[in-house]
Order: sequence, then structure tokens, then C-alpha cells
Amino acid sequence: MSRDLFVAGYVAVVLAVVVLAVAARRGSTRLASPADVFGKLSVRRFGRVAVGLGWWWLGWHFFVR
Amino acid sequence: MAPVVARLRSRPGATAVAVALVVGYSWVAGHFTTFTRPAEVATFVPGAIGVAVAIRTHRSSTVRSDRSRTGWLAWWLIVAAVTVIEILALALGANHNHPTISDLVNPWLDPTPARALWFALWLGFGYWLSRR
Repeated sequence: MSRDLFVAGYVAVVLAVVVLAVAARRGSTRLASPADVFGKLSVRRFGRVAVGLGWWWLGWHFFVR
Repeated sequence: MAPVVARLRSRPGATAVAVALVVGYSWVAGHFTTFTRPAEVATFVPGAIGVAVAIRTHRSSTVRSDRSRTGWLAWWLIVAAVTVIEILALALGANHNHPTISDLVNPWLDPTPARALWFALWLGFGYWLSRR
């Protein structure tokens, strides 16, 4: 039961990401797309490096550790 | 990075070679198991290149001003939600009944073809990020 709740939570998050990304892509809304979000994070060099390090950590976490 | 991409776009053959390299690299990397030196090297190299590109890139992104405050807030709520669930799972022991994202995703990474595919997606995601 507890596991189901956690899985449901993660699935809800994934669904929210997909719905938000699709809605933002339609252009008729003022929602930010994933590209907008990462673009905003990458405005300054510090943000770009942080995003790059986050991406690197993601790969390290899943493919090495 | 931008001149490299522009050059690739002007040469369809070069794009095909780049894609073939990524697929080949991912296929090889997909054969390496976790906690091994080859897996470390295969992941370290593209990661280091990606971070180096991020440091050297001078292009500054522009923030979309036509997006609503709610439009940004929705993404931060999603980040907050997944952070809370992860912390909760870790606080409760990160076991079968309280799985983290890693616990759920790791079985999908076990078969070599799946691992190679995820590795290619990771590389593609890095490339996409470098274009922001």
C-alpha cells in the first residue's frame, strides 16, 4: 500500500510534467515550457554550469553508482 | 559549441556521423556495469565535455517575458513535489515500500540495450541543454 502511494506520487509528477510541457508547447497559454525553464536557469554562467553539473550527476548516479 | 552545431547543420553527412558516434558510444557504454572503471570513464568524459561547454559558452539566454507567473510557478511546484517525495522515501529508509526514483528506475537500466538507450537519451538531453 505504502509503495503504491509512492509510485502514484511519482507517476503523478511525470504526468504533470507531460501535461505542462504539452500545454506550454501549444503556444496559446502563457505557461513556461521546459525549454523556457532551462533557458531561464542558463541566463548566467553560474546557472549554465549548475545545470551542466546537474546533468553530469544524473548520468553518474544512474550509469556509474 | 554553436559554430560546431552550425557546421554540422550545413553538412547532412556530418550530422549522420555525429548521430552514429553517439549511438555507437552509447552502445559501448551500455555494456559497462555500474561500479566499474569503464563505466566511470564512459560517463566522466561526456560529462566533463558538457560542463566545459557550459563554462565556455558566452551566449546568454533570454528569459521569456510573455510567460505568466503561474506558468513558472507550476514547474517549481513539480520540483518541490518530487523533492518532498524523494526526501520522504529516504527518511523512511528507501526500501521496497518506500522507493526512491533510483529504486524504481534501476531495474529498467539493467538490460544492455535499455542501458544503451538511456545513455543515448542522457547524451541527447545534455545536447538539448547546451542549446538553451
